Amino acid sequence: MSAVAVTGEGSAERHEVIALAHELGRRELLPRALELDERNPEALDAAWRQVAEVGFDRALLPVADGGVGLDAGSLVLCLEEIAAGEAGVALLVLLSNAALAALPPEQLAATEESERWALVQAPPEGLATPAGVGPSANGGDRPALSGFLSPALGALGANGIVIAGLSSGSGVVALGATTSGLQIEPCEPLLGLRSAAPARVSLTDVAIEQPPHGGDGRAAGEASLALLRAGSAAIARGVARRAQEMALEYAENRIQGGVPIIQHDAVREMLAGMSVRQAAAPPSLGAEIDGNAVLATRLAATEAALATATDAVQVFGGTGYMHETGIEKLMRDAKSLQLWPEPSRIGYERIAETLGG
Amino acid sequence: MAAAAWSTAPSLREAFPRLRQLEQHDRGYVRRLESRQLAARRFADLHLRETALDVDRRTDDDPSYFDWELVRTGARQGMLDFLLPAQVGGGGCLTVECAVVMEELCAACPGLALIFGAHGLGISPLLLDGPIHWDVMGEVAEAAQRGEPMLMACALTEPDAGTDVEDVDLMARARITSHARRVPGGYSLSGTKRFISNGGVARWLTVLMPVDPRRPTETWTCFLVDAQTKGFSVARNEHKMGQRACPASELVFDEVFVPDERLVARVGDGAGATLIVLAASRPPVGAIATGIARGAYERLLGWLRNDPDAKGLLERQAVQLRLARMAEQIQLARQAYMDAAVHLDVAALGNATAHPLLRSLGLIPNRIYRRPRVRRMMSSTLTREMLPRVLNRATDNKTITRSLGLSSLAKARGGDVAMEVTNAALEVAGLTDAPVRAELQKLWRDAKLCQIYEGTNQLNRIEVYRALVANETMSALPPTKRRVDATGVAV
Repeated sequence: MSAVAVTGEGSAERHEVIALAHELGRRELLPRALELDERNPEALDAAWRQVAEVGFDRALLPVADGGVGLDAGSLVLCLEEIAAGEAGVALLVLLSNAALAALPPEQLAATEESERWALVQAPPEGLATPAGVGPSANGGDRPALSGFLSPALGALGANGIVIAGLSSGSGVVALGATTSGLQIEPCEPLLGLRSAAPARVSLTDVAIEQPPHGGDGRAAGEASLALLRAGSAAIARGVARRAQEMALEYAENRIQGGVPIIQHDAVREMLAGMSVRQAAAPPSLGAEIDGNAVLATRLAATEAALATATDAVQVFGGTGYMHETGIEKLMRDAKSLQLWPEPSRIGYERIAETLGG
Repeated sequence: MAAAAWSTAPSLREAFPRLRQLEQHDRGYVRRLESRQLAARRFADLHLRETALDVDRRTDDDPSYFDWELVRTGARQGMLDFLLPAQVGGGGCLTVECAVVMEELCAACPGLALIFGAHGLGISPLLLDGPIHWDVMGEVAEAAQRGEPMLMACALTEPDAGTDVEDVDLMARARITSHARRVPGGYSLSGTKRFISNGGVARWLTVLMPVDPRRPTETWTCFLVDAQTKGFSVARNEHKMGQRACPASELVFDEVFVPDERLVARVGDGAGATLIVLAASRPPVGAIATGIARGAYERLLGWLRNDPDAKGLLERQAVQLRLARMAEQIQLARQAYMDAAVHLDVAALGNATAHPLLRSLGLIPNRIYRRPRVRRMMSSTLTREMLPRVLNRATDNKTITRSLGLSSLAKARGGDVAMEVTNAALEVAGLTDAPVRAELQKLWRDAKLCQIYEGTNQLNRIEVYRALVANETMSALPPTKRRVDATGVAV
């Protein structure tokens, strides 16, 4: 594969980048999907090397900053292709790009090629104790962070994290993994997306070396959350596509009742439902990613992915329930995407809040 | 006086209001059922709930891990012998008790519960065979009571035939590769069975294979196989998505000799017997699914009420509506499995299980059945021909087909409810850092299997159509006379 060399919104260039993402997903990630699901560190290192080789590790950064200058809309389309290979790695790509794009210039300049960072979004409601910003307990002048964030996907093994959406309104804070007072420890895994292993991020009086981004912290948090939502939707579409492909292939080859099971109405209906859902979930968000549209897109895409992956396991029958086929992994990935970056329930509440009344 | 609030773990009278009416006719029945439910609940709370996640993690790392200690504890508390006939020292329980017990165990841990459920499934073909295998069943009961369990399993599915072997029409065109070949003094079993719950840990297996692979439906036959027989081996244990505590094994039969006396029923009776076994096993699967849904609902409610991180959520109407929907689904799934179980035990098989002949044979001490001469007599053609006559007099295909329809309905609905409720519970809890997330995630993984095993939900719904909508009558009962040729093949 050649590295990402083209950027911009022109359709030919976009197609080329998307084709590259497709190749990365199919050739490099898909064969490692089960190992990645089992959190095999060698498989993860190899996968990330491949991601970095083609430039998707810092796709959103401007060329001048060592990136490839991809716009967010194009990255989202690429994530779908990468996710059709392995959803957890696609999530790592999203988190790393979102984090690096939010780094202050001086900190960004200090990062090395192929470093993996993770954007950690503070939860929208108090389900986990959010880290707070306050004066340093040691009496210093600079503000300090204390508290914990969990589960922080992709943070485990990352070179650093960027915390966004802090309720204090101080905006976005970047911390290298070795920052004093910062602890990143494994926590209860999610059902899926296991290559983006979650961590419990503990902050004990962490002095903030760089001042938070200037301007409106809440707006910066919303913007990063919108990107995560758009990415979640795209990854869900990739998962659904892969599940549909696998189900179709299996249905064409598995014989029951003397005929391929695709000839049984019970199976045909499930396969048709997958096509309908795929057509109904919008594939592209364009370059603008914000507001309720992206939230609705995420809800539709993740619901479709879960329904499709669940039916795909059903098409496989008992075989689908077994780890080695890789189809039950897609169901777990899909369910995790419905819960991240926030549960669908909260998405519905947010949309309802905007309807007035 | 205001009625008490609904409990997440209701008493039998709360869960099944109709039992109050039944009680007026048979007070003892409901009392016995209640005591069985409480024993199962106590066992589940003391031994399953706390170990569930640990065993799940261990089996994720090593699918061969098996918690024998827990099975021994369960055996001592009656979880392995309650389905064995009273005549051999078992509890003499049937589908209703099995379903009630499974709901209780599965609300704690469906994987561990499945060990006991799969054991019951292994026993069930023998229950249709009168006293013929009371010697083995007696050994199994005694072993359980000593706390040295001999587990059982039922081996039906094959690598290329899953749904096919659970439907008589599909079976005719199935890619069945197993074969029970007639040899002097018995049968030689060859082939592979797949996804067999308890398969790798069972001492005795009820195994279904055709005697003539060219005519699988007509010659589908059940054998009782000792796992210590030469030629039997466990190829591997599957790495499952959920319900991991109970291993699903691939079993290889390489010329496994089964003597004539371990033939279950007659050659060719297997297809009909499979229908009856499914009618008996699907209500408990509906109960397993109900238990999973209840387990998720209980845990979610506990978290919402007690965890400071969930503060305020329970006051939200959107959350209240989700909880109400869960309660609604659980209660309806529960009614469906009880309808099916009562219909099978009372309407379909009531007369057969209460048959005076079986009752009087039960007066003979079980050790007598282990004597070689008595065993030979029990497995004689005369006895094997007599049992179908008893069954045909005691019940009919129409009633059994109806039972199968109700059972399939309970299983399919229950499976969907388990998925819907665990999905919704995770939606409410989200990615909380609290331990409840791991428990709900496990139940969600466990739930999916309920839509697949004992026939996919799609197959079950086809059977609902045939039995309850089209009002078909399926041939489940063995013919009173079955002719076989010199090689033992049905003609």
